[in-house]
Amino acid sequence: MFLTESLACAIAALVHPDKRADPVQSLRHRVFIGCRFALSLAVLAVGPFYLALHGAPSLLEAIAFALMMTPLAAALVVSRTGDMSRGQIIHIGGLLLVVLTLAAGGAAPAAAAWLMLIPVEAAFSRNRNVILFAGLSALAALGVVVAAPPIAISTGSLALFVAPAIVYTMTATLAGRLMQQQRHVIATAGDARYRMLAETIGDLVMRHDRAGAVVFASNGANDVFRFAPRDVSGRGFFERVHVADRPTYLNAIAQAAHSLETVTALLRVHTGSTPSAHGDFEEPIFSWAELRCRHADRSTQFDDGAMVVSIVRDVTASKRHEEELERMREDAERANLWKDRFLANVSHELRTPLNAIIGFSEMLSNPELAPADPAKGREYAGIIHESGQHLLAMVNSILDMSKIEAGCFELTPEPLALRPLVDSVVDMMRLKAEQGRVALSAQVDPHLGELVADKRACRQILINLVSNAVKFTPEGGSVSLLARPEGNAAAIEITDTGIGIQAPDLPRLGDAFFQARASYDRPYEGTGLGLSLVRGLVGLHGGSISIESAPGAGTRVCVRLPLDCRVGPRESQPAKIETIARRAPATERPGAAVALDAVAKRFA
Amino acid sequence: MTKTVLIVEDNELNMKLFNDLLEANGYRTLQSRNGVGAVELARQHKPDLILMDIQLPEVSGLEVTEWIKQDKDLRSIPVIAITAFAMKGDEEKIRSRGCEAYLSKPISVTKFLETVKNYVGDR
Repeated sequence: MFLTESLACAIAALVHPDKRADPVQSLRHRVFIGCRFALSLAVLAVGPFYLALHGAPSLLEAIAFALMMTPLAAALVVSRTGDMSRGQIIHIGGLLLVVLTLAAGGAAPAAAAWLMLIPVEAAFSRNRNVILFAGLSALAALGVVVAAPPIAISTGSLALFVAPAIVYTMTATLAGRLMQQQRHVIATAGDARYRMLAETIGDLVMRHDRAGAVVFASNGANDVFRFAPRDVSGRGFFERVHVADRPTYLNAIAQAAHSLETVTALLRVHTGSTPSAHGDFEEPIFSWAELRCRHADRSTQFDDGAMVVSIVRDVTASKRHEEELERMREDAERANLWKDRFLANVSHELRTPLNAIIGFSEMLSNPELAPADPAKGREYAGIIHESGQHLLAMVNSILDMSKIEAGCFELTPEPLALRPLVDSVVDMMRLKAEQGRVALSAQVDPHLGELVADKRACRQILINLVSNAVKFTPEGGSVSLLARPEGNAAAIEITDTGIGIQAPDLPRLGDAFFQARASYDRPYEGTGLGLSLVRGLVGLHGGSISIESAPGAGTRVCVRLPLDCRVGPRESQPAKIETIARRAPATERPGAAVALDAVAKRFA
Repeated sequence: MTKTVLIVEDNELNMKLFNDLLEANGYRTLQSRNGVGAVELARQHKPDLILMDIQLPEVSGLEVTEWIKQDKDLRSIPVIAITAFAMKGDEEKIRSRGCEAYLSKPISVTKFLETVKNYVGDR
């Protein structure tokens, strides 16, 4: 026992270092080297018997003995280079020479026995060239044996020549059996290790054949995607990949099968279904999965014919997280842009009245600059007062807006008639309209009864809408207001013949601080707060807004306020603005079109 | 000889402020509330100085300044931008379009008068 173990150790030490790591390879090398040793030992063992029986050998016999040691050389070559095929060729070459020598020496039966070792050697080879070489050598040797001279040596000597061949055949057969057993043990152990590894990873591990069909799937299939390994085997996994991602999947497998790189792909995998909103069909659920696949190394190739090994990981959560981050980043960027624009607008709008306040008060307080005429002094004080009021109104709307945004704007609902409110707003705006030579008219349907609403908010809504309409209407245009009942709501329509709004700007209307044209070139003053304030206040009343417009075709804004804002759902969110892009701008509003045309011509 | 200053400003109150300040200091004034009118007045009267607001209806003060600086009869007239665009970088952007000087609103009356005097000399 001790002897065989130490012998096995000695043989194992002779295996080329490159081949030691892989158990199957190492086994093959050990068997090769071991068998060659056994053969050489057998040859050496018969030497003394031969001498005793036969006396000094003839020259040919001595050469035959020497050649019988070539297997030892083959074993050494394999041990040194790790190249099994080369060793086999040397071995077969040696056998061939032995056969030739024996045949030439008149020992044809011994030559025939040695000849049989050539195909035995071929049986252990995996290399096609070696097998071919062995076959041809055996045939050539057969020819020589057939043509050999008659038997010239004694039967006893003949037996001694044949004995090593028998020993070698026996050893080789035993080794072959051993190799078969060992290989099975290694394969089972490898598979068990592989399964354990696959399950520890926690991902779905699969092996695919060249066409992408799954030949093995780990239990990860169940843990990760809640389907059994048999659900994904064969075309099962392919069927579960989202139709749009199937080409990506097949590409990845094909790419991995033909290269040494790890190929990664992102796929949507069908993992379940949920009843649709109406419950009349099942809506599929897809999970995001990351597929990493790699060519199965030739030396570790599995007996199931797998070409590619893949690991599939559920990345739905991280994908969702990624998308959320991206959305947050976009929101933050947009908010930042609005903030910059708001600051620029507010700064401009505050500085304009402040210029009058500071300028006139500096004049009044400076003895050198103060006007001598007291009437002029009073006029300046009046201007300072007016600008201060304007500033106050602006500060108030900024405060209101931030209160609405923060959700702490309190409505004070009271019964109110719209008519006197409309009249007072129109009176207030008349001066501005006259300055801009815009005709301003208002009409309240007598059937419209009282509203229950916040009076200050309603006034603010009307002021902002009418002043916007007047502001954006060129000279010669008109602004008209119409209030009428519409179901259980009051519809207030403000129609102007103004410059209108470009279709791309429509969806952004009412975003706080948005004004359709940016910075220096914007021809209209304002913080861009007016409409967003209206939107907030209408939302608080549970009303709605619709805007219909096109460039040059004027704008019609319709606000619907419920007759009683205490009834029905009150939204803390600003009212949604329904926008409609108008068509055929030129014909519908000839006045505005002509006015714009005139402006364009003046600058042409 | 009395120097003439053209004021381009769309806000009535600010127009009045600049106008009264200049008149009280012995300048003759011309007023325009928009850019096109400003160019017409400039061609007609050849003022010694133009005070330009930047945010104007229809055409911005920057464009009007560019028209003036491209016109060989008008380009020698200095243009002072007086604007409420007073955020970081605004002055550089406005000067780069051809304005000789830049005053931000709210103005300091003394600085305003000094700047005007610098560009037209004594009245």
